[in-house]
Order: sequence, then structure tokens, then C-alpha cells
Amino acid sequence: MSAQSISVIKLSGELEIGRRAEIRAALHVGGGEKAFLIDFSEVTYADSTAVAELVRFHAEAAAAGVPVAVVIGNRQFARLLQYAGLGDAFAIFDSRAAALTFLSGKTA
Amino acid sequence: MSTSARAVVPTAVVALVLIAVFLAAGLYTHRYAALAADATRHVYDVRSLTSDALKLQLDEEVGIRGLAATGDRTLLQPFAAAKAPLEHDFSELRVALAGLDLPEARAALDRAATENHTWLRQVAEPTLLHPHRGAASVQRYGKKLVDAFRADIARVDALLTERATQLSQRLTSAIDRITVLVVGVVIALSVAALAYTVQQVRAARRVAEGERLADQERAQRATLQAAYDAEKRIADSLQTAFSQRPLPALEALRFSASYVPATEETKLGGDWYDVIALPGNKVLFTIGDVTGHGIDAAVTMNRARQSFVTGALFDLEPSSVLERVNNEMAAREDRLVTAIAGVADAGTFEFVYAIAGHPPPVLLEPGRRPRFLDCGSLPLGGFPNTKYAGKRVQSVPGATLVLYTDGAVEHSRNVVEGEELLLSAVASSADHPEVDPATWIHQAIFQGRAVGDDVAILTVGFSADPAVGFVVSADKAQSGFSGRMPGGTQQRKSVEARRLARMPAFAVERAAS
Repeated sequence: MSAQSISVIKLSGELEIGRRAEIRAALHVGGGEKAFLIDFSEVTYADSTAVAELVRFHAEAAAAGVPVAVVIGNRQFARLLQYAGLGDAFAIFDSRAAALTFLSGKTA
Repeated sequence: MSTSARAVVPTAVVALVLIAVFLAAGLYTHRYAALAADATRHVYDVRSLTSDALKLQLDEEVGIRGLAATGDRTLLQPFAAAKAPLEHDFSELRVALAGLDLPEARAALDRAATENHTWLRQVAEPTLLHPHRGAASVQRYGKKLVDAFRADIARVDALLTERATQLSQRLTSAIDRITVLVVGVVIALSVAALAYTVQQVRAARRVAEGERLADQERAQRATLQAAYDAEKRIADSLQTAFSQRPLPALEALRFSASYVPATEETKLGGDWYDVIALPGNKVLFTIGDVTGHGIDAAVTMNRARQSFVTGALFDLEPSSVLERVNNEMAAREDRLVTAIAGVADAGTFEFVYAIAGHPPPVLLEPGRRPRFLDCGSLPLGGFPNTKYAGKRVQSVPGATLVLYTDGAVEHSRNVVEGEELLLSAVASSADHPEVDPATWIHQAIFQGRAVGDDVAILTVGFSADPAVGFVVSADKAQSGFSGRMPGGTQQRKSVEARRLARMPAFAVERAAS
């Protein structure tokens, strides 16, 4: 599948409760997407709000049968997902290239 | 007041300048007009001399013609009367024309005088001697001379008239120039005064606007400060009230806790811990952290904390407690909470705990390196009906379970380093029984550094030997602690002591005596 048919959602900076509405609006399955690449590579801090919104989005995408790959660069954020027991639940990558490869395999 | 005072000086200056200009213009005009009038009068005086000369010359001619025509010498009377005055007029005219600087008129006058004299000599005198000889030719010659004389005198008169006209024009144009000058000065001053007034008004408006903005800003700042103070007061009160629940005193179990709020007051968070004694040498313990900061977080924290207590009334299983709290919070769509609920049983040396999105507890057992226990389930409040697993850890006498909030490992923004530092702090606490473990661990991690987030640490331990326990009184905990601290210089101790003073009942360890 071509890169154009992958919907990319990018969020940067500190993902904390003050940005809950923004995060929720960004992490949204509109319908018609073939695959999602969630790019958190420039996130510097995250709290449980971001984790919960990611879980919510993941469930939504799973219901729609759309694969999701998540790019996370920040260790604190990765730890938070481990605390939430999600370390293995999501397809998490440390680079965008790896995530794209994964999505290409999924939708080929 | 100041504005009108500022306006007085320029107004006075403008008025003075205007008065000076009008005075100067008036004086100049007056003086110039007087001079011009004198000159004009003089010219007209000279002109009356010329007309007098014409009349006298006519008298002379009339006398000679009368004599020539009739031979009657009585008719010579006008000639005789005119002769001397005409000479007098010539000399006066010469003087006057010299004064007027009219060389052409002077030349015309000289010609006229010469013609008169020629006429006297060649027409008048022969006629006087021989009234009837050659009368016709003489008279024709005489007429020619007289005509030339009249033309020259007329020329003088014309030049004088021209001079009078020039003087009059000069006066008019001088008055015009002065008028233009005065009007120009008045217009310039008016424009300057208008510009000055406009500039003054604008400046005054700017000053007023600046004052208004400054007032507004002061008011806003005061409002913000008041709101900030109010929030800080409330958050302080809530936090203090919430974290003051005393730890129970039991023979077989010992507890210590440390709560250090964020250095920055607005960052006051929603961390808590609780230990509740249960029948039969057992306790229920909880630790938790509400996302965000401020009053809302503190309120959610209190609500969650109460939910844990009431949840435990229904079912003591930590997993059931978490499930009950989660459903309650999810229904409210409240902030998310990470937490651990657990039961420590001093009869079986068993820890049972359930965890919700919270950093894993650390278990320290005698003679072993401290280790992280299992973790991994969703935070509370996000998803109703989430199942939480209870984890059972069989431990030993003297074991201590260390629970903490994320501030204890996220301080350096490098979680892995933070976790290693926590493990070594927990390990070293075993070698320092003179200091309660929670305080020791906090101090070993932060070394007196300012803390950007709230940090709560709770330890729950089984007594190795109930007789060996130690007691830190609440008073001592509030005023600081004695004994050697990790990296503990005097200064660090005093920093810590200040923190302790801010947070009463900061650290208490209870043990059986």
C-alpha cells in the first residue's frame, strides 16, 4: 500500500490533562481510513490522559478494522504504557519507518 | 491642571509675537506713509511752481503781444510784473528738481529757461525798442519759442506727475508687502498653534490611555493574584487536610510515609496515600495520583481516596476495590487516576495488591536486592467494567513494600535512571534503621533539590522482630530528623527541615514498643 493511503496523526509536546479535548479531537476515526500512523515522536511528556485517549482510539480503530501503528520516542511515555499494561497491546515503534513497514505488511 | 499650565506659555508667546508683529507693521506703515506723503506733497509743490512759471510766461507774452499790436506801453504791465518772479521760479525749480533727482526734468527746465531767455532777448527786447518793426516775423519766431518753452515745462510737469505716481505705487506695494508679511506671520502662528494644540491633545490622550491601560493591567494583575492566592490557599488547605490522616500503630507492621509537595505551589498535585488497620494484624494500603494539578485534582484525589475506603467496606480484595472505584470514577467522567490498593497480612507475611496504571511497587526483603513487582493495567476512570487482577506476593519477616508516585522516578525526565536511583535508595534505607525509610528514600533521591512535582512515598513493612522497632514521634517528624542522611550536609538538612515545616505530619513511622 502506498504511503498516501495511511492517515498520519501527529501530536507533539506535553500531552497532559489540559490538552484532553485537543488529543481527543486528533485521535479520531472518521471512517474510510485504511491505516493509522500515530506519531508521538516529538512528545516530551505524557500523563494518563494521553494513555486513556490512545486506548479509546485503539478500540475505535479495532472496531472499524483499521490497523494502527504508534511511534513513541519518549521513555517516560513508553513507561506509562507499560504501567497501563499496554506495552504489548499496541504496535509501538521507535521510528516512523518501522511503523510504515509494519502498516504496509498489514494492508498488503 | 498641568495641561492648562503647559498651554499658557505658548499661548502667551504667540500673543506677544502677534502684538510685536502688528506694532512693527503699523509703525513701519505709518512711517513709510508719512515719508511718501511728504514726498508727494513736495512733488505737488514743485508742480505748482511749473504751472506758476507757465502763467508768468503767458503774462510776459501777453504784455509783449499787446505792445506789438497796439504800441500802447500800458499793456506791458503783465510783462513787467512777470519777469522777475519767473526768474525766481526758475531758480526755485532748479533747486527742487535737483533734490528730486530728476535729471531729465532738469534738462527740460534748462531748455525752457534758455528758450525764455532767447525769447526775451530776440523777441521781447526788440519789440520793446521798436514796437512796430517786423512785427509779424518776430511774433512768429516768438510763438515758436513760446511753444517750445511750454512743451519743455509740460515735460517737466509730466515727469513730476510720473514721480508722484511712482511714489504712490511704491507706498501701495510697501503696504501690500507688509500686509502679506503680517498675514503670513498670523497664518504661520495659527498653524503652529493648531499643530501644537493637536500634539498636546494627542499627548494628553496618550497619557490618559497609558494610565487607563496601566490601571487595567494593575486590576487584572490584582485579580489574577487574588485568584492565584485563593487557589493556592484552597489547594494548600485541601492538600494539608488530605495528607494528615495518621498512620496506624500496630505491633507486627511498621509504616513510614513522606509527602513533599511540588516546590511551585500552583503545581500542587493530587497524590495521596492511606493505611487503614483491619482486624487481625492486617492493613489495607492505597497510594494514588490524580492527573493534573490544582484544586480540581485535589478534589478528585479526595473523592477517589474516599471511594477506596468505602470500596474496601464491601470487599477487601484489592482487585475488587479497584474495579469498584474505577466504575464510580468512569461514571463521573472524572480525571484519570493511577493507584495501587493492597492488603498486607502480618500473620502470613503476604502482600496482595492490585494496580491501575501506577508505577510498580518495590519489594525489599532482608538480604536481597530490592526489586520491582509486576504492574500493567489501565488507569482508573477511563473505562468502565475494566477487570483488575489481584497479585499475591509471599514475602518474609522484615520485608518492606515501597510504594511511590511517579514524581519519585520522573524527576530527571529519564525514567530508567530514575528507577535505578529509586532501587539504590531503597537498598540503602535498609542500612539506616535510625531514619524512617520513606524519608530516607526521598532524601537519597532528591538530595535536597527542588521538586517539580508532588512526591509521595509510602512503605509498609513486616516487623522482623517486634521488639526491635523504633518510634519517631510526630513532633520530631515535624521539626526534622536526626541521624546521618544520604549525602546529608547541614544545608540539605535545613532545606528538608523547611519543607517539613510546610507540611505537618510529614513523616511518621510507627512501630510496636
